[in-house]
Amino acid sequence: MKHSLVFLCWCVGWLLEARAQTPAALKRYTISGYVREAGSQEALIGVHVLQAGTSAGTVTNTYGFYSLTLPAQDRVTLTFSLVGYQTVTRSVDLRQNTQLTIELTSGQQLAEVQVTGNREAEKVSESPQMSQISLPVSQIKKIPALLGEKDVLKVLQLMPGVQKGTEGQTGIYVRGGGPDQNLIILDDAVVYNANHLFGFFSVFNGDALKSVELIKGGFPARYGGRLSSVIEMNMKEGNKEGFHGEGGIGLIASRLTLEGPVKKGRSSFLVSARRTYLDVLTQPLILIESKGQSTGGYYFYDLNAKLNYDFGQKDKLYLSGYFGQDKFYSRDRDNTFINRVGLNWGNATATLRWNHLFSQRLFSNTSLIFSNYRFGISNESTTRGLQPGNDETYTLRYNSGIRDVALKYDLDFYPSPQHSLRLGLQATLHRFTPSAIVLRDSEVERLKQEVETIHSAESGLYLEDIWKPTARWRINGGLRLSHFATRRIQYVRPEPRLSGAYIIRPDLSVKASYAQMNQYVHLLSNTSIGLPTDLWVPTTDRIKPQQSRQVAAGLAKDFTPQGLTLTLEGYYKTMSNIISYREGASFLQLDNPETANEVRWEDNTTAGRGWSYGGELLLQKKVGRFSGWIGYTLSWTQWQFAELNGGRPFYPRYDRRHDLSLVGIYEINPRVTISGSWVYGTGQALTMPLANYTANPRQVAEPYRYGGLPSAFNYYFGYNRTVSEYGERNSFRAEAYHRLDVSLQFHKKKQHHERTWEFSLYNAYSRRNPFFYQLSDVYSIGNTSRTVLKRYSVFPIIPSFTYGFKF
Amino acid sequence: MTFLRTIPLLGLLLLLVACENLLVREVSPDELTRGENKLVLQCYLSPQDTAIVAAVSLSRPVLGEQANASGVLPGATVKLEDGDQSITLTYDAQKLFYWAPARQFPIGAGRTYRISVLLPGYPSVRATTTVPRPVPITEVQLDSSANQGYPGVGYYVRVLWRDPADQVNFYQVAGDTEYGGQEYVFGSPGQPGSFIPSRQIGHFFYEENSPFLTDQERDGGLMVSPRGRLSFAYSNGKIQADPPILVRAYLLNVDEGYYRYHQALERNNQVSGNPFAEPVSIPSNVEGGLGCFGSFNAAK
Repeated sequence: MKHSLVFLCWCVGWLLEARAQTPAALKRYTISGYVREAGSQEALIGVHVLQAGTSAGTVTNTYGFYSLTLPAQDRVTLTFSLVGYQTVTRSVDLRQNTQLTIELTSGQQLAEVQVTGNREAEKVSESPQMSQISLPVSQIKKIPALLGEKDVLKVLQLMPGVQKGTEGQTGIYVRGGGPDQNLIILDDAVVYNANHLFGFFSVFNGDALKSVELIKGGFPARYGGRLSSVIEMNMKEGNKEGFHGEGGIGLIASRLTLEGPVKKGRSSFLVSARRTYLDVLTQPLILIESKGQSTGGYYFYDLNAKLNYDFGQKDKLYLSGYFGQDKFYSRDRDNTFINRVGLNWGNATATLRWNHLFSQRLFSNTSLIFSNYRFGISNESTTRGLQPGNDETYTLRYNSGIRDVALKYDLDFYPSPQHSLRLGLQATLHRFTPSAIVLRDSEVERLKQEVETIHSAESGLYLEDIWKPTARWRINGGLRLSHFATRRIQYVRPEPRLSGAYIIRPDLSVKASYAQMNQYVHLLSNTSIGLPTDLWVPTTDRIKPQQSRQVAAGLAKDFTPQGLTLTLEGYYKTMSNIISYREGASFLQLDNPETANEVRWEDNTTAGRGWSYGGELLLQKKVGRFSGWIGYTLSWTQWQFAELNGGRPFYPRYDRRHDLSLVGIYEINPRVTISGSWVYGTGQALTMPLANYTANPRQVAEPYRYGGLPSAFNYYFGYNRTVSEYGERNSFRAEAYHRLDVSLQFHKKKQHHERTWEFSLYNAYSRRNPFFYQLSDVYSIGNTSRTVLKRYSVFPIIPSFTYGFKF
Repeated sequence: MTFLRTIPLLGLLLLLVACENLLVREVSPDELTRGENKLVLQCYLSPQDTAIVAAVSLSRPVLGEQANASGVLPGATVKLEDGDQSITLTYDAQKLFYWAPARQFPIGAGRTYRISVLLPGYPSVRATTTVPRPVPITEVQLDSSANQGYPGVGYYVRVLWRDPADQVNFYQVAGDTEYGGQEYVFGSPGQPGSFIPSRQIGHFFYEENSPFLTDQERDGGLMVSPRGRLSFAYSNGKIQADPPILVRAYLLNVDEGYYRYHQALERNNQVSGNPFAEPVSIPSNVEGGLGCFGSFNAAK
């Protein structure tokens, strides 16, 4: 009912507008084209294209395309602007449809002053979208990072409404949602596990990225499938003009990116790689230490590649891929025994995209997407027999993962400056492998092969319109129809989306939004850190889709002369059918991984509801010699599960009352940049035992007897076991988290390249932030013991230096 | 199977947490909620029992000096009432529990009982339970198959019964095997010991399955228990059991408090020592204290 009312209002709006325009019956022409970066021909996303002196305008899409249809006139002046680029103004004779391709020059190639002055068109107060953050990739490279490894996800954690999990982890918690509720997409492909090294680093290599955008509320209808956020990343296309490279050597990893034209002006490529080398350094030491009997190590690598071909104005083709893996291995041997253990996990994605222009006003993109996440454990041991051929071998392989094949079709239609329509559909076939086990044991001559796969289909159909009914109103309304089918059960759910802005003054607007989201895939994880064993599972007849409803309202203000933007937002979000582990559930069976598959994951989970509300403030300066931001979040998140905490509401682990980030980057001169960040966050909510006692369950059968008679006590009570009383779930608050990072970069332009030395300090004042807590016994003289709670930290002050180059 | 222990996570944690002095700190107890001493009562009533038995002990705060494990406390007043009459259980220092013969205070199906425990210096506790009605076993199925994880053949048992309709029921299945075996007896100092024949008893193993069930979504239907493995002594893959071999199966219709307490203990038992498992909080129907006052009606 509510949905149809919104739809009705929309139709009435369209009709009224059509009536208002008909009498004029002016001839209209379209100006369309692409906006690219000068020098590299890289398509630019989010460039504001405005008719000077009016509110008519548009924004370039993911492929740098824009289209603006205006009444016929002798002269139209258009401005093209994007943060970090020099604004371009063009005058066009609008007596016919016109194609206009624009090149913007990056601020790095210009004196800074020229760029900062031209920000007229790029205002946060002008956009209907709220709860959205775009990160300039160049800024990410200047913010200090752990061991000098720049990390996109960790920079996003510095934004209001986005929280980090445990120390050093890349997990993202948006407005009370967990890391499983983020839709992370790289060139249209979903990345299921964004972690390297147990979550200390993310899989995204900044050198290969062109744009990073986070949406935490007021979701446009084109996105769906997760409850809490959309993190969309686009890879660079590669320089079409000349061959260039970029790289760096750090303490734990090195990286190299190469890009250049395949056919000048038409086709280009980009290849980017990163690998850690701790294993290469430690392997000889382990070999010496173990007298040649043991080797082992750990590494991860990422490989991004992209190839594109421009067939002209009408057709473009892009092929991009990501491949990354973490690998742990060890081998022990002596004269009679060899044991090999391996643990590896990784993502692979591939996207083939075809852009086609049906007309100057109708743009289409077709994507064929593949994504695969796989986790595997292997163990192989061989014991030499006394006679040849009598060797005993034992092999165990355990795999789990998810594989997607998807087709996505999007149409962008620009009928008038008042409307930008988008419609499209996406269909994904998921194949879940919660577990696959192969066991071979020659001693007892058994072979066990168990593979459990679940196939499901997920699809979405959407329509959205960015509508400017008057000069003061900006509205983005839409509807997404989502569908999920698995194991003879189907769900079809409409998801209405609406966000709007009312411009009070040219630099001040109020905004509000509503979004309903459904999530059909769930992540089972019972650790707060990003372990590769976290398991993606589908909605089934027993596990219902998760659903959220979010309202947000806020204020956006631009301080144009200072280049500052201020956004203030409040939100309220409810979540239903969210899942959590039952008490006592674990997918990591320490003693016997063979039983892991026998534990049914559906039996291990329980569903409940949650709600989160709060306020966020962001004061940001994106350009100039001094840039950075202040972000503050005040929020509350609560969960309620029938089977947890006796059915009473409780704070989930990552409920955080206060979260503050201060980030500053200052370019002292063209050769020296200093940057720093300071974060503060309320401690996590944890469960701690309060007291211990002895539990005596009832003895039901005859008491155990192996000889001798049992005691009278044992006829009534079974084993004695010490158990803990926990009190309310998560009622213990860890100490607050705070940390200061600083970095100093020295840039120098050499004859053929530019080099950067970076020195940084992570946790500059060595705050011992809690990583986990554990009870332990302390023994003293007289053999009395005392139990104390110990706080374990991970990173004290960590200095690092990296060398970077660019040519 | 120790190989998962070698997963690098633990190694990584050890590596990162290596600098014990630098990175580990004791948290001041002032920053923590202190647990308190509470009375822990465990008492299960059944019409089949010949005695009414209760164990009373004390919980101890986790932090601080650790005295010897808390055993059963003497000196408490444990009083049982059913609305018509009451009885005070007496403490037996040898048996280590409070008790009274069942003939002095018969326990009947469908009746509600209240218990209270008073111990000077501690808040008193009370609880109630209603004794469920008996549910007979309709069939016991025996079955054998290759023994998983061990060489040789394993024997399994299932219990079947019909659930009484239109009421919520909770069940526990259990059983034991009694057989002839050998007991080692130590010799006098300097002399070797010897084996003597003796009767041995072992329980059904439910392994990953739980012996606790509800009739949820199966109300009024035929209930089939998960399979339990019979316990025997093994030697070189062969069962070492001399006849007569007795297999006893029990079906308990238990009350909700009993079910929730025992099921949580069972889960706690399964994951003890696993740092990746979610903590299990043990529910209690004892007001002001901990433990369980439950009841059941058993069929054999």
